[in-house]
Amino acid sequence: MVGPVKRPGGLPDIIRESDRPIIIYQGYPPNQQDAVAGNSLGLLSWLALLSLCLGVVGFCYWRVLNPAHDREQASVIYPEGRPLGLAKQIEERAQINARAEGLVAFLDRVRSDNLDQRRTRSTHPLLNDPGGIDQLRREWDDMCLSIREGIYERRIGQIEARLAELRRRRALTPDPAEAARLDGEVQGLLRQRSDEASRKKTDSDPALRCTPSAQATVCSEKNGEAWCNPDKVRPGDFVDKAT
Amino acid sequence: MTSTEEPPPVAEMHVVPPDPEPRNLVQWIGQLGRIVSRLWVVGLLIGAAMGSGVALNQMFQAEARLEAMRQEPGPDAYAVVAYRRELARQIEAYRRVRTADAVPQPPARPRLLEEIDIARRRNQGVTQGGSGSAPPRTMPVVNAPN
Repeated sequence: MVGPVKRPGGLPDIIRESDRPIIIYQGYPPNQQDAVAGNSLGLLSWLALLSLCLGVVGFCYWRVLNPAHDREQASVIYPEGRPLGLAKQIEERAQINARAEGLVAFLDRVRSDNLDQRRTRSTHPLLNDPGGIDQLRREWDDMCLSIREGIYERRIGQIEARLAELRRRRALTPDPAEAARLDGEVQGLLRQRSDEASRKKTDSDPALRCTPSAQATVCSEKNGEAWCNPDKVRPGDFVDKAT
Repeated sequence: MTSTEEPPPVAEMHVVPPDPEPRNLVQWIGQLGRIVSRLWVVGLLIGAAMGSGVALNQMFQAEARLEAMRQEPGPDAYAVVAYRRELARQIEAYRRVRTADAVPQPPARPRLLEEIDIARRRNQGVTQGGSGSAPPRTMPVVNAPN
């Protein structure tokens, strides 16, 4: 069976044997080159658009779900600092709002009970619950007393160490004048120890007097702490109510 | 050119002659593949655009929610919550310090907490000093001048 002769690289016989004119272009036929260039541009713009969309998606989700915390800024809720992601910021704010809810109403109720001269039954979880301010104040006062105790103990301990040293030297010295001097020092240290013990007992050292946390000074306008003037420290955290 | 006839006009030259052979299966599969890939590309782009729209919407909704939550409570109540946190932080910090040379100073009290402290103290005084039963609230009597 004799079929059409195929020449590699040549034109198919069906075209070669047709009566139609055969035109061989150098390069692209007219208007075809523009189409190729248009395809490349289309691909590039498609890629750019896709990248833009994916970038927007990534940015938005990172802004919402970012799990990191800013350690430079203290958080009222998180010990590791203020959250950076919006979701965690919402969670933080929700907890703050839940804790502070009804605080002014509680104050009004107590004042109302005072006016009526009756014992208030109102409580607020932020103040009265376990882990609330009342309990933390007691813990803070205990901690202060414990630190004060430790300072006195260290002072007395230092005096006693010095006393032991002097007594050891006194026992070893053969010189009566030196022994008399050491005896004098020992007596002085004994007096010091007695004074220190007395101060500890009577809490008479003003430098080591614990101020109860419930009697601490009240915040003034100039205080720059977040628990005094949070609206000055973090103005962005407070939005005026829409009127 | 293999023909001695007049060449056809230019408009006619660009007319592609109809394919005399029927398309085989490979051509059909190729065509189908092209259609599918174009649909996939367009779908990907539409999906990405929709995804970015949803993501933007989520972000703006989260911002709006945070903004709404920041309207309440005011700075006074916020300060009391922050004060509680500061007390807890100081207790935790001083527990780790074993060799302090001076006693710590308590954090200053927020103004709202001071008002609450005063009111509660007064209430305790009322309870301890008073009868416990509430006398009727009376209006102050003001006599008109003669």
